[in-house]
Amino acid sequence: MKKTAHNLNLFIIITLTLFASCKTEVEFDGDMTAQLPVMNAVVCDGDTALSVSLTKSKFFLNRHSFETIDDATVVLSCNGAQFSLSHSGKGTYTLVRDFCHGDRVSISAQIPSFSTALGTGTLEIPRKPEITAAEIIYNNDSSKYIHLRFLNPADEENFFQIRIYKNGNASGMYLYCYDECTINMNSNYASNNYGSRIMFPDTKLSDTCDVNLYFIEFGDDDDGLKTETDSYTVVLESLNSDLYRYCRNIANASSDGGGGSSFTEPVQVHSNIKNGLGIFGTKAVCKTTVTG
Amino acid sequence: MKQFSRGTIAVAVLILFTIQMQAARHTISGSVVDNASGETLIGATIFDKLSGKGTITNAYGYFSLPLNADSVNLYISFVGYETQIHCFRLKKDTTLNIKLNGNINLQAVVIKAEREHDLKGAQMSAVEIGSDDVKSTPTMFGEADVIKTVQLMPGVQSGSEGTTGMYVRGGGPDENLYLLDGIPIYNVDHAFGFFSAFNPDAIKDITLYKGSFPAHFGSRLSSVLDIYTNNGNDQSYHGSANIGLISAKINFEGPIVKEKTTFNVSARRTYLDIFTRPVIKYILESDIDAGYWFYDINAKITHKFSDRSRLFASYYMGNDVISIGFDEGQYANMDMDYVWGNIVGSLRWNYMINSKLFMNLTGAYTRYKNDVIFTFNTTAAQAENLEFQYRSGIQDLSARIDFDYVPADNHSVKFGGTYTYHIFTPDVIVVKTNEIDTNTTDDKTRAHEITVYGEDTWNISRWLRANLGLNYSVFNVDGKTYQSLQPRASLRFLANDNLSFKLGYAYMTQYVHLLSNSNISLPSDLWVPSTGKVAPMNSNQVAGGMFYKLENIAEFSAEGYFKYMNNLIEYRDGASYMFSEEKWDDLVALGDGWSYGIEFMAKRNIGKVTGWIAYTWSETERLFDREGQELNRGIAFPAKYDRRHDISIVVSYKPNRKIDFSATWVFSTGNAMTLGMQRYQGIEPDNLGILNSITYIESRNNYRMPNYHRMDVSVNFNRTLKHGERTLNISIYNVYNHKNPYMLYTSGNRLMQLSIFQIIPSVSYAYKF
Repeated sequence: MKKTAHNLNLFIIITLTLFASCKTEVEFDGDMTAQLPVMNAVVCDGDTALSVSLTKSKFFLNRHSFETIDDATVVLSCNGAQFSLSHSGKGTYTLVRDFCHGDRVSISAQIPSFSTALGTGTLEIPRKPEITAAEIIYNNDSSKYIHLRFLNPADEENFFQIRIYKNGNASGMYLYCYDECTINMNSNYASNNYGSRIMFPDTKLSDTCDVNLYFIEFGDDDDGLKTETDSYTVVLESLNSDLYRYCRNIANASSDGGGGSSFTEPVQVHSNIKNGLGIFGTKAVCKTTVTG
Repeated sequence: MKQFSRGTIAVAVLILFTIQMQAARHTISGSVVDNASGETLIGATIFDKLSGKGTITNAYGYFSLPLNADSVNLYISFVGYETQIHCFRLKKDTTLNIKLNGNINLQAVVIKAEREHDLKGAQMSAVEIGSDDVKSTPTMFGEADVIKTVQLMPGVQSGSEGTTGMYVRGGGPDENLYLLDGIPIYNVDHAFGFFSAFNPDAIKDITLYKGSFPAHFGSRLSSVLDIYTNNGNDQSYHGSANIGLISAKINFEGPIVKEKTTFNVSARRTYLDIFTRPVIKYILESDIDAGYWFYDINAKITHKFSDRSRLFASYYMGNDVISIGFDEGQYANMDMDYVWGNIVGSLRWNYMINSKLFMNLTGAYTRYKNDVIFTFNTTAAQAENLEFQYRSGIQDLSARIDFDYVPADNHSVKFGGTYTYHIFTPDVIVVKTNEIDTNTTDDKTRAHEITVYGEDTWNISRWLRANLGLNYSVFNVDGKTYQSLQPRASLRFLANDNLSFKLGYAYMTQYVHLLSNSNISLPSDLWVPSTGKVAPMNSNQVAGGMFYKLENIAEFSAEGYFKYMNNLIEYRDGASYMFSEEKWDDLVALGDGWSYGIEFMAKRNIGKVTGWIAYTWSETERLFDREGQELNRGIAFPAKYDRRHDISIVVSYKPNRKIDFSATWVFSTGNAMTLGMQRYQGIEPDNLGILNSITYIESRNNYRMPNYHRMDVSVNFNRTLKHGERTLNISIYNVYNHKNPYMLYTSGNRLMQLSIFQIIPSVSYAYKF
């Protein structure tokens, strides 16, 4: 009987081995797509300089690192005036200039190795949001959250992103907003939680917005008790629509590398660069710090 | 324009219904059953050679044939049975209850496919498949499979390897209506799709409709798989038992009251878990107790009150269970139970009201559920218990009435209606602790669906036959009401006794959707209703075909079709309902799709070598360009199961009663998949640093997986024993061990392929008495 059981187990193991799934490397059987120029830049209200990055995309089976573009002519158009950017090495082009809300900006780049020039549409730098109140609330059940009140400029369409740092930790990954973020008690906005930050449009917001930011702290013995030495920095950003779409796509794609996992759909990351890839965005940022 | 053309067809059909029909003087009615078992025969032919008039038995074995008062020479025939001839003079309405004798020699060599829906029937795009066909197809793990056999038909594509989902003429897996004894069954998979939920031992008849749907069917866009189970032998007790590598099944049938009341019970269970539990413990060297199994039970009781009246009670239950337990000794233990499955119950009453009017009244309940229950218990003094449940499902309560009315010898009318009360539970999350017991989400959606229909099969002349019908449905959900008038038409022109041409049109509406990821189909996929945001799906399909019979050699068919679909749903970029906090209808986009193709089939039914060759050429695309719902930047893209070529070859060789061989070979163009071919640097949203690296996806489904092909072979050794027959089956799946792609993915800078099934030998032993 024992021998039978042994043989049966052996049979099962052999059978399972036979049936086991198999991974193999396969040849790419398709047309290799051409490299594309990539431009990335973000202009922020209050910035004193602009940095534009120019690189080339690479085929997905290519093991080499990304190539930079160092021979381009990059021009910023701001409120109708043209400014040439200077090359500062490794595909980076810079311009020293003060930027503020209302500036209308666009960028173009002429790259010798590509026949068509890169370009962007004209974007406006958004108005800086205004935080009017922030406090940390401790619950009886050992949880805590930050209540934030800010003004939503009523005369324009705004897209917001909120992040929290603890004790000046700027990594942004130390805390994350828990899934009960409520904005004006509208739980639908909880869906805009992206781990270390939340993003939402102002389509359903009133002029004055209240946000409860729930969070969990990793890597610390957080018992929810009041700790007067801890400080929390809340960063509220107003993004233009292209940058907002880009950030949401990046957050969606982050779990699967962009190609789609078995459980999520693939993400086509938004780009507003004509004849190329990348993102050109504008934003305005405000911060506040609350202590326990 | 579309509305106008549908309305025109509707008016035309109504006119046809009101045409003064010539009344026949007398009607021959009754039923046709198997003499040995009393089992009703579906689709048996009753044909009067003198007048050239004929009919077939309906799904319950009844027929009605009005004829002029004259001599009749009635031939009653059914594939695999000896033909009976009844000659008499028709002087009054006559009841004939025919008992046909099985032709053993013929049964051994005949494949029962397309018995009625071939050359002479008005219906096109339909295939009839006998349970013998299913059993004679090579099997995986020794388990014959209904849906895998259906997938070998032209126009039907399988999903990823190892799944039973069907993709019919460019439609999605949720666009197929699976009817078990007329009742919808929502999930047809066992073992994540490796097996279908239908136990072949319990099945009597299978018909697949791919287009030109008769008006009595509705609620799905792409296909209807109409399955009827055995009633049970009314003469004596019979049964069968089958034991295979991973499962065993039994079937038992017989009379409760001879020739009055019968039963038929089938049960099946896998037992891989019994062997794998100790293996898993041994390999992992832990106290993890993990197992998977599925089971299903079919039960049916039939009572015959009289030759005119029968009552059927049928029940199906099937569940898949994954159970995992972690025992952390004195500190804690953790259990996870994942259970999904169907329950279908129905009560049906057949009554022949008079010789021309037959009624079928059905009450039914069907339910699909998907439950994940996770429990965590600490065993310390201050015990903490946590239970997390994720539940989803759908329940239907329905009442249906159908009438078959034969007003004249050239008209056969069906009409009736259905009311269905749907309860959708898209996702419910329950958390229980020592202090808390709460439903954090409970958004059951209730909906009402009413359908009425009427159709007429009209023999316009010996050469011309038409089936014209209308289906009207109303769907009410959350205060929103949708309605749809769906004309159906098919026309057959018989050029000669061996050649016919057919045309068909069907407008279909579907009010339920299955939310599934485009990459993989899971039992946790959600059934959801149309809502205010998500409109019902519609399709217009036209098809035309030619059917030719080469006497005593083979049958040939060629069909072409074009189908346009509206309001298809797909997940938006990056969306997944798993762990999503958004409502499902915020995660999806609505769009359109179209599919067109040509299907060829050559089939040989007689002789020692039988089988068929099926070839499909098709093209299927999706377009999601509605404002705010764009996918693929609003540009059309290939559907995931857009395959240019699909070939199936099935061969069965039966040299004698002791042994038979079968083999299948399938080939299909690789599935479309999304592959980002360029990567680039972006900006990190948090700190505007460099983000390495973003995948640039030029287009959805822009790459083809390698072509799929495999061969399966099977041999049966049959032996007659003292009290029954035994069959030893040896099958080899993927006999030349081709590594077919299940999915492709990138790993670093490499393109990798995952193959799940390589060569799989199996053996099973069956005993039938």
